[in-house]
Amino acid sequence: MFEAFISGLTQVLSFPAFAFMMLGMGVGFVVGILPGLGGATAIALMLPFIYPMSPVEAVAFLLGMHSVCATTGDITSVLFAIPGEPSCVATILDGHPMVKKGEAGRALGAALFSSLLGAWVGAFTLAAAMPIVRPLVMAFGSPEFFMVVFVGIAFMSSLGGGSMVKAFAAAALGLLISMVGSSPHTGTLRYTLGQLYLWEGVPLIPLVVGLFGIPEVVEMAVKGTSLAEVGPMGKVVGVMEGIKDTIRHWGLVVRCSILGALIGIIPGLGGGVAQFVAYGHAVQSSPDKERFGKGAVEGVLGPGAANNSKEGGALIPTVAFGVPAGATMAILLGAFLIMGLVPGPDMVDPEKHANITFSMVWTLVIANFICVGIALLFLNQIVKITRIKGTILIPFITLLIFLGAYASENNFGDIFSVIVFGLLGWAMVKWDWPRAPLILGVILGHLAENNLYISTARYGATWLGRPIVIILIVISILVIFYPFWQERRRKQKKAA
Amino acid sequence: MRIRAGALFSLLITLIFAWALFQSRGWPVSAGLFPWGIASPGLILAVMLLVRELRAGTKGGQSGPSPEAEAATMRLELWRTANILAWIFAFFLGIWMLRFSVAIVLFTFLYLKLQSKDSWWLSLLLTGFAWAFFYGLFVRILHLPFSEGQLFLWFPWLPSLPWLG
Repeated sequence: MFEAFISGLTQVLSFPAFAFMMLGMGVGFVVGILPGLGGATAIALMLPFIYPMSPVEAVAFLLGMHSVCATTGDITSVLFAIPGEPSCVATILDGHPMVKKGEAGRALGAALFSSLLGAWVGAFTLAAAMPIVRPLVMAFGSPEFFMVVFVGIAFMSSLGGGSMVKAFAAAALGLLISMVGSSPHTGTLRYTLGQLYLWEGVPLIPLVVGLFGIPEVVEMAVKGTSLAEVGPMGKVVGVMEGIKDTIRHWGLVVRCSILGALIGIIPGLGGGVAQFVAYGHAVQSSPDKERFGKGAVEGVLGPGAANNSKEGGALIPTVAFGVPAGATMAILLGAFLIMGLVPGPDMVDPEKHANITFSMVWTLVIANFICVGIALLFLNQIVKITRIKGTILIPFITLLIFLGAYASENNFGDIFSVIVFGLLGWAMVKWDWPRAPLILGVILGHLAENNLYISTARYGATWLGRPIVIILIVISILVIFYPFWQERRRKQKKAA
Repeated sequence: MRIRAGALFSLLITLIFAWALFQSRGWPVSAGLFPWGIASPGLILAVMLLVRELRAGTKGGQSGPSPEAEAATMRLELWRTANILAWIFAFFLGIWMLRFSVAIVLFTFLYLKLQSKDSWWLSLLLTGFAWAFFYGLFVRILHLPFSEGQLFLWFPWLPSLPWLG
């Protein structure tokens, strides 16, 4: 395992993996700092470009991009009270009041440096989890991997927020989409509408790019303003004080990082929960709670650390079990499958792909180190990027959507698919249908069906009685009924 | 009874699941087991959502007129949504009829000039950048094959501007 750990480092530092990581970081930097452009969309748009890359290069590129999004998203949260990423909302609560008090530099220094330390804790959580998770993963067979898909869907649908019925329906739709094409076991053509284009199934890239990219473009056009929507601001100073604050409050930073990593492991919770749980802990653990909401630096340190540490935690179920922790991880999982990396035992086996998993650890460590360094050095220049008018970005994002979809298979049908799934994505956003369960269903549908077929052929119906399968069924049922129980408790408290 | 647009989307999803079940009726068990197992609960969930949306529409649909400002905001949002979707569809048509390189130049320039109302020099500069990005990355580096536009296949005597890429 140690050799795989070191091999992961040397592979990430080698050329061209390092160059791809820097390129991904550059894209993630811009996406993270621009409100209105999501990290999930950016990864979706970059998927077509990973085909010529090796697995380590693709991981370095995509994870390098993803890991800096949350870091730079804090910049606009602090300066303009506009979250650069959805997971950076809690940073506004005390970060922006610090700006109003004239402590913008201190707030940014605290947010960026705590993000760096959080990312490192998350990365090493992933590394430390590997030898622990390995025996568990090795005990999984086809029945268990089949059930894991449904546990993942149950978690994401019931804990992800919003209507659970819509989430499950979206997941079912995703699973249905995954069945388009010829049946892997009988060759029967399913849902192909008489089109040769669909014989091999719905291609993933146009689906993902359309589902996430088109709604983003529509939203930017509807808003119709500059991305930051605020007036000019002066020079940012006092960053070093924020870095000193992070070191002074190292205990809080470490605790919030661990909280973020643990929450990141649970599918469906993600950054939205991690940042607020960390903020709540920062408030609770402070002797002077009155300062919070008015510019307390601890209110920036907690969410900043948790926001980044959750990424390392989120990779654990994604890599080990194929259960992505959220929409972005679901798209990353799609990327792993494109690269031929199947989540499960191989990804934690030192003889097989453990080195690639460790390269993810090192990507999180190195990418955040470089990103925070650059951000701290060029903070004043970076802030100017947020002045860009949203309508200027629209043609570039649109052409990237269509070019990206076409580039994967050089098939014009993919461009038509982008339109179809783009309209579906827009409709889902418009009427509050979550897209993450749909993506999860599409990506995991094949794996689920294959594992079901193998389980049924090998064990008949007896696979339903296997101990781990029973545990997973119970977990699924508990997760599905948890929101109802929570709602009942809330009503009882209200009545009392 | 006023039907909300959300209900129409739920109806569409319901019809998709119903059609999926109907299509799979003659398949062998190995091919049909998973579709039946997914489409059946999917249909039930979609019907539940449709009923909920229709009931919400019945309850809320007649609750008095929205304030003028809210109605105006909604109309503006609808107009901008329709506008951008039309631009996206026009780009798609441009790719199909004229080919990628020509469509990219036209779409970028026309959007920046007519929709974003940017200056001539900025529109031309960014259009040039967009074309350079496309040509540099997708044509020169990735060597992707781009087919001729449908218009030039129908009317071969039209000049197809090959130097654009």
